[in-house]
Amino acid sequence: MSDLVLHPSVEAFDRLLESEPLLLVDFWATWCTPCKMIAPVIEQLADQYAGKVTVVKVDIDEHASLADRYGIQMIPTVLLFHKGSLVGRQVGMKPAGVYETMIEEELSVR
Amino acid sequence: MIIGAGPAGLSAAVNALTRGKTVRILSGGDPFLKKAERVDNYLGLYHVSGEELMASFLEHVKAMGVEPEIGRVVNILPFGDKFMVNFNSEILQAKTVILALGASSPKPIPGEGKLLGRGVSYCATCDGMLYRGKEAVVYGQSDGAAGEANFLHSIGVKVTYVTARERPAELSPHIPYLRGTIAEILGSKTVTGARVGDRILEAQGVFLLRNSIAPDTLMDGLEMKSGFVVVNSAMETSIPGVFACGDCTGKPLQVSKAVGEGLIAGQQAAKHLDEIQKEEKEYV
Ligand SMILES: Cc1cc2nc3c(=O)[nH]c(=O)nc-3n(C[C@H](O)[C@H](O)[C@H](O)COP(=O)(O)OP(=O)(O)OC[C@H]3O[C@@H](n4cnc5c(N)ncnc54)[C@H](O)[C@@H]3O)c2cc1C
Repeated sequence: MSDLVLHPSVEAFDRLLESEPLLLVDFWATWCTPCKMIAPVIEQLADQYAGKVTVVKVDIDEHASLADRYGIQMIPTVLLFHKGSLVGRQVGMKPAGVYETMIEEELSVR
Repeated sequence: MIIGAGPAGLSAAVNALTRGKTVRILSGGDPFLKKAERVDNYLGLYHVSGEELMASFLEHVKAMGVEPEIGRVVNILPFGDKFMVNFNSEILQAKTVILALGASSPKPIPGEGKLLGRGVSYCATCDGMLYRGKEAVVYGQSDGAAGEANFLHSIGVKVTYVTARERPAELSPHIPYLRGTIAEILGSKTVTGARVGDRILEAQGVFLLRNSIAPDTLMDGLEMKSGFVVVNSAMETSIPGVFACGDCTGKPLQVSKAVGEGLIAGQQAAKHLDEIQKEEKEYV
């Protein structure tokens, strides 16, 4: 497992949301098979974009309030935030390239 | 890894096995051909029933030491040079994938595409927990659908079961059943209900449980044309390492074509494996 992927509490999540230039959030749950399938993809992204993108995972059973706040209807859902505002959303399991494109687009305009 | 145990998948299996590869076949229940009363255009076997033909195909593969594993593949994800396959909620790994899914591509229900992931789901065990304490309609069109509805009920989803068929015997007696077909899925941003005939069922979730899943839903980014998987003459799809054969690649929807394409896909997949292995050796 990558040490770079964080599992914040709601308070810590809100702090990261404010402080991080780019925050990638993977909404998942322990019972969700597609979430397990993208877990290595998310870890790879954390390594690949270390220093540029902060990567966190939110277990929707532990932190239902965050799932509600962002209207998560299907998991995995991966959101990308720039200083707290939502700039990207991928619903469902996607291959690595889709997340990379979403991140690269943001990095290119910053 | 071969998905589908119809003529195409079984032919691919035979030809990958002849080349010394390890093969697994994952497939839903009875293939299409079993329904054919008589097949008159398969060379060498005049006046044979679909059922007999299918049984002899299956015997052939079994004699070579492989037995199809029954279940449903709901998604496939490439990762590096491998693939992760979600089969009955278990994650399997494969170096190549051969899609031999047949042609029963589902006709989408109005509202389905727009609301997919916003209340519409194809997999109860994947998304079920999101609807605990909420109302969901299960549209049962597959053999395992009643079981999935029971699962949803057991985790606290308020399920209504809709199907055009009779009430399935295994459906929990606590689940209300409605006979009919879903004409439309309602909702603008998220699902608010489903229309069955002139009845509106209010719901936050609609689970469409079919035997077949559109190939590009199974695998994100797979190039399709008019409902069929796009392949070249080597049966390669738009995703490297993924091959397709049989009815899922297009017309004519016939056994000989499925078997012929299965041969190419099986051999090409074997060749692909040899190439990966060579590269791996070169790295060492
Ligand atoms: C009534 C009838 C009569 C016919 N008559 C003739 C004839 O006379 N001559 C002729 O040449 N052809 C005939 N056909 C057509 C022939 O049956 C098909 O062309 C042939 O079966 C195609 O083979 P296939 O392997 O591509 O697909 P199929 O035989 O459809 O097999 C596909 C398999 O994939 C499985 N599958 C699909 N999706 C998934 C998933 N997500 N997870 C797991 N498994 C999955 C299915 O369960 C199925 O077992 C007839 C068909 C019918 C229905």
